[in-house]
This record gives sequence, structure tokens and C-alpha cells, in this order.
Amino acid sequence: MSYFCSVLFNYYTMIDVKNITFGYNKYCNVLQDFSLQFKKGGVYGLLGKNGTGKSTLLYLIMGLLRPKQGEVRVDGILTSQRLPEVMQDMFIVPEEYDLPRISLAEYVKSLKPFYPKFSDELLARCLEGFDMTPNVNLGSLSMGQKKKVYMCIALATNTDYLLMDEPTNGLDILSKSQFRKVVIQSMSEEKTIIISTHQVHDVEHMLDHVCIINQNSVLLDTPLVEDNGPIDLEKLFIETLTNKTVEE
Amino acid sequence: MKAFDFNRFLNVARWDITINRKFYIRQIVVIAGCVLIPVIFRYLKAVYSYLMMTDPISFSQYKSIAALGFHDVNSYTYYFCLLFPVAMIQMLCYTFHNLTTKQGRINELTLPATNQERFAWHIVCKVLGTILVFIASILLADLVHVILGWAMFGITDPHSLTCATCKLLTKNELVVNFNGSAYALFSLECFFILLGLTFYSTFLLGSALKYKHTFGYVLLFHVVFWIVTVILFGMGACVIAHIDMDKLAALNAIPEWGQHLLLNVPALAVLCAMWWLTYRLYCRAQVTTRRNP
Repeated sequence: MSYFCSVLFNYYTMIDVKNITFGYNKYCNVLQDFSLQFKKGGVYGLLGKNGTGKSTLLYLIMGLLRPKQGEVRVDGILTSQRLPEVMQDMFIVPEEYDLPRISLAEYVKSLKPFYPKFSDELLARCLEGFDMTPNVNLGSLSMGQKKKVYMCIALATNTDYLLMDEPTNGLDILSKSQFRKVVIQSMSEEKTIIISTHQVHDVEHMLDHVCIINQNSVLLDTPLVEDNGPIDLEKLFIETLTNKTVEE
Repeated sequence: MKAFDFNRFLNVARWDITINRKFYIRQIVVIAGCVLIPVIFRYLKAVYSYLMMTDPISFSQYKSIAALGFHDVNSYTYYFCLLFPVAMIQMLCYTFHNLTTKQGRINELTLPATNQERFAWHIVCKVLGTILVFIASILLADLVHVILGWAMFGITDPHSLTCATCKLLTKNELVVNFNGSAYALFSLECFFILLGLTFYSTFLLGSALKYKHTFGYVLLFHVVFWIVTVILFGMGACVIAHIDMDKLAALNAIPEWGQHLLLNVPALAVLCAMWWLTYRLYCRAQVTTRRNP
């Protein structure tokens, strides 16, 4: 029975972060013997105080950082190897980035062959959702517009795992609302979106699951059920952190 | 999934050229400009000399005198032979230019292609690309030479820069005159080729180690390395001077193939180690810093 349970658990655990330790220097670790699992499907909110390693965790999941100890597996494959069969099913939207000074069409054309599930239709729909046209030059866009375009491309890649680091930073109020709609519209059962953010109010109504983390443990890892009315994520976050402080 | 898929390699090439188009255009313009400038400058200088003449003669007279000078293209060829290594080194320093910024590192390292495909593209692009751009630039310089020579000085039989450069490269005088057997000469040639490739590879390794200011760092390394080598060589010479020469004569007993191996195997090993290290550093690149830890 226990074997069956473990097989079942592994099957549904698509992203498996296992006992990782990571630090940007040898004296201080951002994450210490940290473990977390993300199951298939749904929008995950990754919350935590400043410096608890949320962005670091996203980079580790993408294989952009090498843990000192432990491992990260996506569908059973180590992400640190950055194999194409894994990377073609993952995409990250970092907090800050710059886009090349070329047209969106050219950029998409160069990126499309790498993502077999790329959907032009979805790209057009997402751009429309953000009130943007496909005929744009990426170099002439403002920071917020670049972010919106990049998120549209990320969603259009149709990857099973989409990681977003502070996606609503730099977006105006209208764009934040559009962002929620666009993400919900483009969701499917196979897709897993992990959103790391401080702006809990921007994303609270679109999350299916929330993980609150600190350096070496997961303080809260729970699905969000709205049977008893809307959940106040900020309150939940403060309560979780307060309880943890009291326990300590 | 295959470790090296040619279609994916082409996709990497297309992607890299698309997002770094401006960078590549700039590099091409710089190389072509460096090749073209002396050709154009020579014609401008000739016109300037005519205009500045204190005792003016008719332009047709001047043309016939000046035209003789434009048949001499050897100075260009020596310049091209000096320029090419500089251009190659410069391009090798930019081998992993995608990794200089954080966004660049994220884009490059999360691209669904294998390390081999991405690495191979960077090498092919920088090495073959530089050679092709250089050849194309010389051909362009030749064309400019022909057009300017004809238009300004009425030269109808200009000497080709391309042919002169090819001649210089295939000249026997360039090869070290070694008074030994053909086998020993071949061995020495192999050694110098390996030494040259190792020299270029230091810049490649430097670009995998430090993404920014590679040229400066590798140059500094070379200065320190050669100073240390000269000192060690001097110390070694002092030691050898105190050794019984009869013992050294035993070295001559080593057969020619053995000497060939003694000379070239370590050089080849150093070259292979440098390439292996470059590839390993590239594979282990992370998003964090401009220095590859």
C-alpha cells in the first residue's frame, strides 16, 4: 500500500525540490535543506519574506543555479542538466529583463522552433487581452509593455511549467487586472504556473494553491478553497509568519 | 533525445543571429572597416598630396606618376596578415557574449537545446564567421581598390589584393627555415601550429571564465605568464649550464619519432585541456554573476 502511495505521489509530483541547500557565497545559505513539491496543474503562489529565496528557488527549478546539495527534478529529470526535452516544457519570466531591438514577429519566429506547443493563436489572444498589437518593435516598448509582451510570449509557448518572478511589478492597475484575465484564459489542465510575488492582492483571486516559505522550510503549503468566501491572502501570510515566530 | 541535432543547431544559429543581429553587424562593420580604411586612405592621401603641391603639375601628369605607386599592394597584404589575428582574438573574446547580462544568461541557458549544440554554434560562428568576414572584407577592399584606382587615376590593370595576400600566405619564406630532415621540419611545424592554436584558445577560455573585459584579463594573463616563463627558462638555462654535456648528449639518442612525440604530445594535451575546460565552464554557467565560478 505504501509503495502504491509513493508511486502515485511521484506520478503527480511534477516538480520535486529535494533537500536543496544553496547560497550565493560559501558563508551564507539562502536555502538550507529545503524541500517542496509542486503537483501538476493549477496556479501556485510562492510567498515569503524578502530574502527567503523565492527567486532563487525559481532559478533552481529552471536549472539556472546549481544547488550545493540536493536536487531538483521535473517529471523525474534533473533540471541542472538543462536537457532540451525538459527545457522545452519550461519557461521563466524573470523580474527584470531586456528584449532585443527587433520586431515581435522576428523574435517569435526565432523562438518558436524550440517550443513544440507554441500557439500563435494564444499569443494573439494574450496580446489582445493586454490591449497590444502584434506589430510592435520590442526595442521601442516601455518596461511595463515589455513585461506584458514577454508574458504573452511565455504563455504562448504553452509549456507545462511557467515560472513568473514578480509578474505584476511595474504594471499599472489596469494591466494587473488584464494580467489576471490573460493568465486565467490561457490556463489548461496540464499547465502549472508558479508565481513568486510580494503583491499578494494582485494574484490572490487566481491562485489555486499557496506556498509560504522561509529559508529552510515550507511554512504553509495548501490549496486555496473558496467555499467560505474569498480568502484574504495577506491575512493568511501574516498569520502564518506570526505563528512561526511564536513557535520559534 | 539526441545530444547533437543538426536542425536544433540551425535553430540555435537562427535564434542567436536574430537576437544579436546588431552586435554581429557591428563586428562585421568593424572588421570590414579595418580592412578597407588603408585602401581608401591611400587614395585620399594621393589626392591630398596633389592638392597640396607647391609646384602644381596637370592632374593627368600626376595620375601617371601616382598610378605606379598603386601597383604596389604588398604593404596591404602584410597589414592584413597582422590584422587577422587581432580580429580573431577580438571575436574569440566575444564567444560567450550572450552571457554578459543576466537576461542574456537566462535566455541562453534556458534555451531548449543541448550544451553541445549551443557551444558548437558559438565556436563555429566566431571562428568560421571571422574567417569568412575577413575574406569577404579583402574581396571588398579589392573591389574598392579597383574602382577607386580606375575612377581617380585611370588604372586599368590594378594588382589584386586578394591574389597578393594568397601569395604571401603560401610563400615558402614564411615557414621557419629549419636545417633538419623533412620529418623534423614537419614536427616543428606541428608544434608551432599547436602553439598558435593554444594562444588563440587562451582567449576562448578567458571568455568562458570571465564574460566581460575578457581581452584585458587574458592579455594580463599572457604578460604574467610570459614573464614567469622567461624567468623559469633563464633559471633552467643556468641549471643546464652546470650539467655534464655528455648527459645531455643522451637526448640525441632518442629516435626522431620520440622527439616528435616529446614536443607535440604535451602541446596537444594543453590544447585539449583548454578546450575541455572551456566547454565544462560553459556547461556549468549559472545565472548569478558575470564571472563563471
